[in-house]
Amino acid sequence: MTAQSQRLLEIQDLFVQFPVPRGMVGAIRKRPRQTVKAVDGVSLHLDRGEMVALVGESGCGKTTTAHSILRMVEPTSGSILLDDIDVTQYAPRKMRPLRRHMQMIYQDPYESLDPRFRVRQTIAEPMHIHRLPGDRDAAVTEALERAGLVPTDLYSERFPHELSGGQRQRVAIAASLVLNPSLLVADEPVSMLDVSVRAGILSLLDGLRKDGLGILMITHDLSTAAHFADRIAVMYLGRIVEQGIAKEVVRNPQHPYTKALLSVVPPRDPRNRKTPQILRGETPDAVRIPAGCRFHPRCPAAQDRCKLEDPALHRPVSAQTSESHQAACLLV
Amino acid sequence: MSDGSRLLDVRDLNVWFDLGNDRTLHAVQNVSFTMDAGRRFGLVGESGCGKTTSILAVMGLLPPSATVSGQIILNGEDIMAEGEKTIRSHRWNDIAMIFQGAMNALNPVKRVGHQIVEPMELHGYAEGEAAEKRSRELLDLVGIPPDRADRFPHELSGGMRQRAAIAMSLACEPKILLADEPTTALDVMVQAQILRLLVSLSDDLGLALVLVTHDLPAVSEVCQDAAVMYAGEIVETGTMDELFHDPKHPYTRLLFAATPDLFGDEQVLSIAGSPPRLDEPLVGCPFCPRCDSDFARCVHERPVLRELSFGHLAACHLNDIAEQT
Repeated sequence: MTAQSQRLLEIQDLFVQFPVPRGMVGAIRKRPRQTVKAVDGVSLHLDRGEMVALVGESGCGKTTTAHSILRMVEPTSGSILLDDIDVTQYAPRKMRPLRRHMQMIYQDPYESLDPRFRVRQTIAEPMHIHRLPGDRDAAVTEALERAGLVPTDLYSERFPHELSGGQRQRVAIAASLVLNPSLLVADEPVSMLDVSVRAGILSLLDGLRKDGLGILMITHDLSTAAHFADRIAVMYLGRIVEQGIAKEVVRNPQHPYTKALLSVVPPRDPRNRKTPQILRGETPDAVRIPAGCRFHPRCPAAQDRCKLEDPALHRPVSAQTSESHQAACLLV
Repeated sequence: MSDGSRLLDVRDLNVWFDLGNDRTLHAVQNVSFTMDAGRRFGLVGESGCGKTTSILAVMGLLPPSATVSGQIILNGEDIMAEGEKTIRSHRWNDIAMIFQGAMNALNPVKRVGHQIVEPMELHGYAEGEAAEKRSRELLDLVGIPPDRADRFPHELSGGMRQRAAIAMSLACEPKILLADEPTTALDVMVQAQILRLLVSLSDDLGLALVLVTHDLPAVSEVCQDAAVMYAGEIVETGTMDELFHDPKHPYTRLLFAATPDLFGDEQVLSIAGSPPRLDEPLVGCPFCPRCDSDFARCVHERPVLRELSFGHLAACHLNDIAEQT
């Protein structure tokens, strides 16, 4: 564990809301303005050399949270400190030099690479954009090596269509590493890849983490998160409902939502089949977030007071969990 | 194993694609499997291993550039024998399919209910009132409130659209359902809902289900047995228990080792290299360059699929050594 390392990222009380267009008729009739509360009070931190997995169903706000760190969406309120600099206070023009330090890799390496760019050009482009001085060829070679594309001259002149899915994702990683970022946001980095190459990409990220890079991984695959992340934060409807050390969240979940999510992950071994606890329906609408605990309409353990009180993240009272383990449930 | 009792018997299926310039790609190589009512069978492997092509061949839906050989025996009748003419009468009536990404392939300008009625009318199963009524029953069966029949696809969530696609495949009461990656691109919770739906459909209606996926845990959850495909051929087939606890092909073992388990502590390992090109003739074992236990014989001699114990088949030379010692 890397508990001693410095704090890299600190998100405090982040809110991101998008207005819902009400249309001309709605405006004339003065229908109330509605907002999608995509991120509804998220606090999260990430240390150097740490990998945090943000997990949850689609629409829970995990990608919006990540995008607001890079200011690809405008946060409504809250602060995001990267190395003690509040990125939410930066004018959009001033963001560019800051973005050097935070890079993002995307889910689909078939879409994220320019098909007309050779690998070398793809990796060199960020340096052109950021007008970095120095030996760019050497930097490209180094990035290729760090991304595991060796021997580098075998790959540098190729086009994306000449590469496999796993190799493409490595190129995308190399293109972000070339700027020497301190934070890497990986949005579902392996879900489009074949099972046989997933582990390779994840071990690559794991190696980069050990070299001191902070990685925020967005995923809906709990097995991957349990294996590769240091900590897991589970999001539901715009808020973190449970967070803690990855292995502990998986083995000793406290929030009913986390328990349900874990129960539906099929085990590899057919002898370990268990009864999944399937929640009805899908994540509700982020326009109308339920009063009280936001999870209560789907919660199998909900009580009357869950409809009234909105629980905050706290250390479970009864459970044998470590200090950092928190859940937002009235019943723990 | 008499032919009469088998619902579906696929024998020595081969598919070649014409690439032009006298080049062909041998996409499916000697694939055989059988299906009985209520049985759930998984077809697993990496992308490009021929699993989707195999089931498209069974549906008779491959493009004209494909050449298919082999037998597809449905209820004792070879539906390949007379080509399109015979397959057509069975398609959707006896064998139906949930296509990959079906939830995004619904017609956006037609109401969901109507899209379920369409195959019924097209295949002469039911018409008018009766078809309407059945479409509502089907929606109910897959867990969509029947009043949603009047909705357009964009008004439904991803999981609901996938359920609608399943309802559509069941329109003409098929006996065999081929599901191509029915849960990829869906959320964990919705994935679990859809898998449970498929299991209950096969239990309640006696449907034979072929689940095509690269998601091994999903196959473990749903299927009794499975075939692992590599480079166009089946390299191992057996019960899920045999495949996991007693794999007889290194590829099966490595594929499981590459899949992280929620509670497992063991290291997750990727399989180095990539599958061979199928537009060139294969020499030796196709998996040999990526194998961790290959030896001299693997380089030049191609192993054949051989029965090792009842119902457990594998194509690997290691099994010969194991038997000799």
